[in-house]
Parts: sequence; C-alpha cells; structure tokens
Amino acid sequence: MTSEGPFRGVPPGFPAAEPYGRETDPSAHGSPSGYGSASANGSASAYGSPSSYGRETGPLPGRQVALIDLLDRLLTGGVVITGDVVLSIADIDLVRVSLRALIVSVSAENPSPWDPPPEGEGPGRVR
Amino acid sequence: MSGELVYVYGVAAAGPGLVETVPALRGVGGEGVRVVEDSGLAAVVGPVAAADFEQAPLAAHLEDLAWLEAVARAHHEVVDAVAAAGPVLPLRLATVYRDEDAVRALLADGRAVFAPRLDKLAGQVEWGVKVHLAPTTPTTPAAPPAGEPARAAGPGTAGAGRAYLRARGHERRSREGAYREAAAAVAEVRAAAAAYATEQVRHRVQQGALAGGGPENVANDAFLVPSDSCAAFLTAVRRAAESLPAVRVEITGPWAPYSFAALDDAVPAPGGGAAAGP
Repeated sequence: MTSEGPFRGVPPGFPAAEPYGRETDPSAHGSPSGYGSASANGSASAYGSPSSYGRETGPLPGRQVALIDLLDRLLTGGVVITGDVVLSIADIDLVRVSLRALIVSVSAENPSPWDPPPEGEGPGRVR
Repeated sequence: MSGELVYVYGVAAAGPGLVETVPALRGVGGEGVRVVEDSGLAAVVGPVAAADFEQAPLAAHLEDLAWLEAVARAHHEVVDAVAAAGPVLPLRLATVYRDEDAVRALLADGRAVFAPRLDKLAGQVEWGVKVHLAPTTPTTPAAPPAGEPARAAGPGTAGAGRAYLRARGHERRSREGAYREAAAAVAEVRAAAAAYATEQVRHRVQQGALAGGGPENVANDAFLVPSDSCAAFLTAVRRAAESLPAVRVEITGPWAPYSFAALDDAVPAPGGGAAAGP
C-alpha cells in the first residue's frame, strides 16, 4: 500500500484534510486517492510511546500499529456472528493462561478479556 | 474445495470502489482477497486452510502469539485498505464460513441490520485515546521533619522501623494522590474527546507483557468521529492533554470502525456529532 494522503509529510498531529470517510459523496467512489489517509494510516500512523502527547499519525514510513492496540480491536471489536455455518473466535474458549498472560496481568480477580464487561467502570459501550 | 474455508474480513456496501480495491490486496496466509455480493452488500473474503481455522487447530494457534500477530496484521491490512473505498463493518478476527453460499446467506439474512449500521458509520472514523500515568521520579524515603534529631537508625532498631513506615506512608499517599489526579485527568480528556464524537467505547486498560512495560495505562477509549470533526477532535484532545501534567495522552488512528461495528443499538456520545466547539 502506498502512503499517500493528508497525513504524510504533515507536521505531527494535524491532518491537512479530512481522513477517509467521505463515503457519502457518490462521486468519490472508485477513486481511492480521495480517501487520503486511509491507506496512510496502516503504515504511517505513529502509534508512539506514551512519552509524547497526542503523537498519533506521523509521516514515518514503516511504522507499525502496536499489536496491543490491534488486538484490543480485533479480539473485542468487530461484528460477532454466531451460527451453525460459522466458526468464529466467539465460539472458542480463550481463557487460556498463556494468551491471557500476554494481554492482561494474570490475577485471581481479573476476568477473561472476552467475558461480558462488568457493570460500572468496566470496558464497554458508554451509556 | 474441501481443504479451505472462507475467511470474512468485513461487510460493506456493494460497489465498484470495493471491487477495484481488493485485487491488489493480500490477506491472511498471503492469499488473495475477493468480494462476495448479495442483496446490495459485499463481504470481503479470502481463502484460508481448514487445517488452520477449524475450531481445534484455531484454538491451538491462538496460543501462539506470533501466529496471532501475523493473522491480526494481515486482517488489519485488508480492512484498512477496504475502509478507503467506503464504509465497512469489520468482523471479529477469525470469522470463517464453510463456503461462499453461506456467506451470501449471511448477507441476505443480515441486510436489515448491516445496511443501517453501514449508513451510521459512513463518513466517520475511529480514534483511540489512551491515557497513561505520567512517569514519576522514584520516591525517596522522607527526610525527618526539621527540628527532629536524626536518629541513629540501624537494622532492627525502632528508629529504622519508624523511618521505614514513614517512607511507605509517604509513597502510598503519593500513589493515591497520583491516581486521584489521573482519574480527574481522564474525565477531562474524555469530555474533550466526547464533544466531537458520535459514539464512544471503553476498552480494557492495557496491561501485561504486551502493554510494553511503560507508564501505567489508566484509560483506553475509542471514539467515533465524523470526518469533518477530526481536526477539531484532535486539537481538543491535545489541548486537554497539555493542561494535565498528571497524565500522558496517546492518540492512535484513524482506524476503521472496529470498536463500533457491534450491531446492538447505537449509544450516542454526549457530543452527538459535530459540536459547535470553540
């Protein structure tokens, strides 16, 4: 994927134009160049260390998405479809010590990341 | 082919932009990516080996972080590229079907829920906002208050014991204070972000070996932001971060709307869209 788009070459922290998402403009369909940072964010995003404020997207090529940020989204986000014809991660018991240990601090009071969120301040949709 | 399953990356509206995008993509296992259409919707799919993605071998593979990482990154590359062509509902990692007919049935059966959700996500992107405790210098044992004679403290003496307890009390109060400040800072950062977001999700705080051992993560949120509000969103979050020395704020994105693909009723964030911000 080439890294074209408003985030490339822009000083850290400011998009020069809108990121991808102008899908409601029918004339833009089929012209990927109109979707700016969409192709840029996969490689150019600066998922930086916590030592900087808001250093999100950056122009450096080859910077990878942090695996933990990816797993937060791919393991708990995304549509979950269950059914006879489908096999999905939701069907699999992921409460295995080795994988959990990599993603959460192993402790007696920590539930599986893939359990339903607890009430209150736990993860989940904000109401 | 019996040795293969159909891996589904996401669901989008059928259209020429998507068809043009997928031929160049390589997905899980380095395989090609194609589109399966039905009912005006398009599933973005690719072949994977049944030997890897049947339930038992998949469960075993998920124990292997290197394997999981390779699949996750390949999955993300595809979804990311597809998101450039239009709104996409990302599916959870490792959603596989037996064959294309089953995928078409998914689209036909699911149209009534997929289509409105795609409309809702159109024109918006996801941003991640993570808040970490600001790094602090190591606490040193509290010095005796002025005027109090220094005690000759050796191992096992009462003076050493009291000095130890004073130091631990000092540390504990510093930590508690830091957490209180951080909680207040998190609330401010969330408020700044939510003003420009239509939806928000709180992910589990990041910890464990994969979190990288840096300062403690105290908030790990995702915000769905209309494209036109993104610049204002980033400015507002950064401005809030600069005023809060107790924490460090890390923004990730833009992401395809992984955190907002769920098909239950959408919950609006307080901002309710493009806020008339300062």
